[in-house]
Amino acid sequence: MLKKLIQESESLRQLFKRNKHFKLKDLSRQLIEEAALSDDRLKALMALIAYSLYKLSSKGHITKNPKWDFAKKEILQHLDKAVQELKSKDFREFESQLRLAVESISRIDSEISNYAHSTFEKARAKLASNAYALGLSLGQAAALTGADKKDLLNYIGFTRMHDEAGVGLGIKERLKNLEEVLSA
Amino acid sequence: MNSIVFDSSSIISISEKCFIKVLEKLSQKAELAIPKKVEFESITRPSHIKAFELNALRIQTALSQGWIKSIQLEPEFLQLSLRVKETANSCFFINNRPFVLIQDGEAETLALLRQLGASTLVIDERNTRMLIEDIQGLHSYLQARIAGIMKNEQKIAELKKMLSGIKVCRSSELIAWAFEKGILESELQKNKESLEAALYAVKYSGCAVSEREINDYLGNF
Repeated sequence: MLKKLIQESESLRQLFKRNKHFKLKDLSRQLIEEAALSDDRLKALMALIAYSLYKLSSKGHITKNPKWDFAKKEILQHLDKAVQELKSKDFREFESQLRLAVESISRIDSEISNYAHSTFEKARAKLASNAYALGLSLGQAAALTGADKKDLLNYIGFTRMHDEAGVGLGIKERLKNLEEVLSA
Repeated sequence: MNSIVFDSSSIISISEKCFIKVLEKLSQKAELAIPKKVEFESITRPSHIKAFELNALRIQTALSQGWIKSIQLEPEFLQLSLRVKETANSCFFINNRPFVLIQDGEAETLALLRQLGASTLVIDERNTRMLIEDIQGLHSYLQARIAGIMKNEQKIAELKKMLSGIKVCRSSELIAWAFEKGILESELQKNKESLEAALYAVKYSGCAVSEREINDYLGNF
C-alpha cells in the first residue's frame, strides 16, 4: 500500500515537472477511483491536485504568464517534500505538504486565471462526478472530494450518466403514487 | 395531512430552477419536512459560498415562512439513522472492506420518514433510490463498474426490511404534478413544450431521470 502511494506521489510530481498534461489527467482518474473504492480522502486530495495541475498546465495563457514559472517551482517543492515525508512514513506531514501545494495552486489560479470559480473547486465537482458514476452516492462522492452538492448536481446533470441506469418506475407511475399520498 | 420528506438533492434541484413555489403549493396538500442534516447541506453550508448563496436563501425563506419544516430527529430515530447507515454501508464490499454508499444526510432522511410515519421520499439522487427500490439492480450497476465487488445477502435483507414501504418520487414528478394542476401557468404556458423544458431543467440540475423516462411521459400529451 505504502509503496504504491509513494509511486503515485512520485508520478504526480514527475508528470507535472515534465508537462505531461494528459498523463496527469489519467493519473487523477486512477487516483479518484482508488479513493472512491477505499473511502480514502488523502488519495482523493492527490487526485484533485493532479486534475488541477492538468487543467492549469494545459492552458497557454497560464503557462506563458511570467508568474507561472515561480508558481510551478513552488508547487514542485511541496510535491517533492510530500514524497520525502511519505518515504519517512510521516503521513501528517505528507498531507500538510499536499495542502500547501493546493494553496500554491489556488493562489496562482486566482492571480492569472480568467474564471472566478477556481480550478480546484471545479476539480472537486468533476472528480466527485467520476466517483458518483462509479457507484458512490451523491453525498459520499461530495464528501470524498469536498465538493458542494449543488455544484456536483449541476455537473452530473449535464452528463449522460442518468440515461445509462436502467429505468425503474417511470414518471407516470411515480406521479400516481404522489397523487395518492396527496389525496389521503 | 400526510408528510413528505425531502433529501437535499431534490430540494436543491427544485430551488435551483426557480420552481420552489411548486413546493409552497405542495405544502397545502402535505407537510413537507427535512432533517437537520439536510438543512445544513442545503442552507448552512452553501450560504457561505457566494455562488450558491441565492439558492440557499430561497430554501431558507421556505423554512422561515413555515411551508418546509426542518425537524430534529428524536434519539430513537437518530439511532435508527445510524443503523440504516451502518447496514447500507455493509451491503457491499470490495477486497474485504465495506463499500461506503451513503452518508449521514441520506440516512437521516430515511429515519425521518419513520419518525413522521411518512411513506413518500422526494430524492433526486440515484443510489439511495436504488437502495430502496432495487438493491439487486444497484449491485448489478456496481458490478458493471467495479471488478470484484461482493454483496452481503444478510445485510441486504436487513436493509430491505428497514426501508420497506417507502415510495420514492423525484423533482421530475413534482414538476409533472405542478404542470397537471396548472401551478406553472403563472410563468409557463400549459403546453407540451413548456412541460418538456421544465422536466429537462430539473434533469440538468442533477435529477436522476433519464431522457427515455421524460419522452415516455411526454408521449401522454
